Amino acid sequence: MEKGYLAFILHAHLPFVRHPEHESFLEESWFYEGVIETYIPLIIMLNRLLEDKVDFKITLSLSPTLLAMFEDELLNIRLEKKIKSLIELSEKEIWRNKDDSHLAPLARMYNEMYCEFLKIYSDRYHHRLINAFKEFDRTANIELITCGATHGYLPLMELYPQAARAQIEVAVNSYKNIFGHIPKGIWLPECGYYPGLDSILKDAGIRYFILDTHGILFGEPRPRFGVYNPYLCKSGVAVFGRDVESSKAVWSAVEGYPGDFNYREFYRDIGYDLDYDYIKGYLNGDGTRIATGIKYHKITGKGDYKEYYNPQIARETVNNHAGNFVFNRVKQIEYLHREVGRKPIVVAPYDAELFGHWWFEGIEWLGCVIRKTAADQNVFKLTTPAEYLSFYQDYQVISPALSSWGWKGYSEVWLDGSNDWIYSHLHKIAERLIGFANKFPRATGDLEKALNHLARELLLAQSSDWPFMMKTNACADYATQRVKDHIYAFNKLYSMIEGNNIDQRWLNKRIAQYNLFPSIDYRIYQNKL
Amino acid sequence: MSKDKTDKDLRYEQMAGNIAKFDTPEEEHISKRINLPHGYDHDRIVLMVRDPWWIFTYWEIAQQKEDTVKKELQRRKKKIAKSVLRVYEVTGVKNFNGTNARRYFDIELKNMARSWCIDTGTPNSSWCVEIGILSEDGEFFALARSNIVKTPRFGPSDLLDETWMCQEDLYWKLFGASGGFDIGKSSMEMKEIFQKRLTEWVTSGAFGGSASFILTHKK
Repeated sequence: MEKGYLAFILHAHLPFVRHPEHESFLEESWFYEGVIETYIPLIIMLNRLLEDKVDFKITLSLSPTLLAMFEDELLNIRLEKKIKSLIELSEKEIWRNKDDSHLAPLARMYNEMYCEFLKIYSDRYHHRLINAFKEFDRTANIELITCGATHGYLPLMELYPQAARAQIEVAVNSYKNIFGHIPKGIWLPECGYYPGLDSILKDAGIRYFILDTHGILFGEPRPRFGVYNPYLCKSGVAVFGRDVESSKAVWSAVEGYPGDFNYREFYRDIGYDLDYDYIKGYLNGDGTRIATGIKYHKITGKGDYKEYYNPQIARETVNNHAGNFVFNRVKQIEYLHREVGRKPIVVAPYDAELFGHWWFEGIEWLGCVIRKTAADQNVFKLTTPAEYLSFYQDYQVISPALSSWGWKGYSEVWLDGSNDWIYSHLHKIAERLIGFANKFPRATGDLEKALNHLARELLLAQSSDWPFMMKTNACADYATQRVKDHIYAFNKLYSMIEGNNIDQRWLNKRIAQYNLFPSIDYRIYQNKL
Repeated sequence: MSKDKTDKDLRYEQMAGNIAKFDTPEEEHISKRINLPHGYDHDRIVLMVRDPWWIFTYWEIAQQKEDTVKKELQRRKKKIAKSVLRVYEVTGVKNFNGTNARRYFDIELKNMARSWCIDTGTPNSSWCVEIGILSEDGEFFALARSNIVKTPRFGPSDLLDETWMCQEDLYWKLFGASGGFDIGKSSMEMKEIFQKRLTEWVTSGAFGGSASFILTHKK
């Protein structure tokens, strides 16, 4: 009989970066990179586990903006073109490196990989990766949960509970439209929680959420079990806390597995290294050098000197790291079982794109951990938060503390000298929409269409990605432009509605460009009695 | 790959052709030129929590409001000394009315500031701010009052749960284990090093989790 449980939670999110106006758009390529480097490999790995009937559980949080992009026809067409162009590039690479005993096998590895991706994408899932997740949802092994509608950082919306509620309700509704039922749990954007948010989750039918460690440890009254057991909020919604030890093994730049010298080097890519004329057809539309995804080197060491990647040695390293991770969980869970007094749960959440995209071997590592957990030990089993909640009848009631999993643990990342200017606008437009929702409780026709789109613009302006990018100075210009664009469009449409003079042509274009949440209803912003 | 085209391929080519419809050059897409309104012509001051110690406020005061208050100062023959933010601690205060705060301090505003980050130094406490004008003789004329916010506790609660009691020793052990501190340290040791390491742990952000993907695109 097992002594405890481990719950892997992968959080998959990208902001809505669909740009129909250009054939090739730098930020839109994040979506293709995410799909090609993380989501397709993840789908393949999970399918193999299912085919092999491995006893496992995993939880995936899929943000509504990411799901909207998975569903989008235009992005799917472009994704297919992107995979085909990688196949073409890898064919050229096989030819170019035909006499190189190191690079020829690597080029073939990429070629085989991309061919497999295309086959799965087009033949198995009929150009809709969302179908993979729909299949997963019907299994007992994979629990799909939701996130905020556009990944809005909720603690900074506390002043406008309707705005926070809309982030949750739109997320739950879009999940329901895709999967046919409401999600059991939610990954709060950036793990951002403020006291009272649980009541909004409760109203939306959500049964659990996850917080960073200190959100639980600093809860009141004192949590009896550390983060190794869920708690109930006064609303009745359950809350789980992140385990630091298992997080560190993967996240930490110093102690984590992904920095092993045998793993593939992220920053060396033929997009940067090869002759411009040879590679330019595979770069961004404007010709700037970007990563193609084809990388031939391993981390090697701390300096610039890089040796060729050896997949066989990397695979052995994956196997060792997976064994080490399982061994450490066995020790940890044996200890906790003795001390906790009930079967502990270790909750290990990660950004999904850490695996595959950032840590090339990460997906294989995860699969390997899952297989070893099932085959090599019987101290712990994998579980999902919802399953764990069925194991006991009673849980301690606490009020979790305001917290996030961002740098420094609170809201500083999203509220800083680089980005704090956005809040006067975000608050104002939220207030304006709440005002309209109350003023027009039963709008129909063009007015209803315009009000619904106001809600979309507000939600898009609220993505936590924009202030994050401003703070970290990573694509900060794009982030600034996106926030301004959505606020500007909101205010423009607001004035049109006020003046009863809606420019339908302009509105239709906006709706065509930002085509997510087709069934959104602005009335979610009404004051609740 | 495409030696024989299927119906599906043709369907996708057709759809790809439709994309061209979006490529209208006059499309008003993301523009660097967008200027957002400087303000929304209202009087307001908003307070937000940044972390257990710091709060953030932004404000907008319409000229009309400022003129009215300045006239009131003139009428009472008072001279304007400076613009200030008055920061009130209102922990445990019911119905804060501007006079019943536990304490307050003033921050002098310069250079047309529109927002301010305030170091309260006090986790687990409630705050309210007013923006206003201080007269030479020290009288404060408020222009707007903010919402009230509460900073989170930093550290474990003192409140124990009678139905879920455990020995002090065990509590600290699990607390330490949760924080990733070395398993097996004695609880006394844990308690002593706890506050220092906990502060380091939370504030260093050494293994924060958010948005790794975008960071990989940092140039």
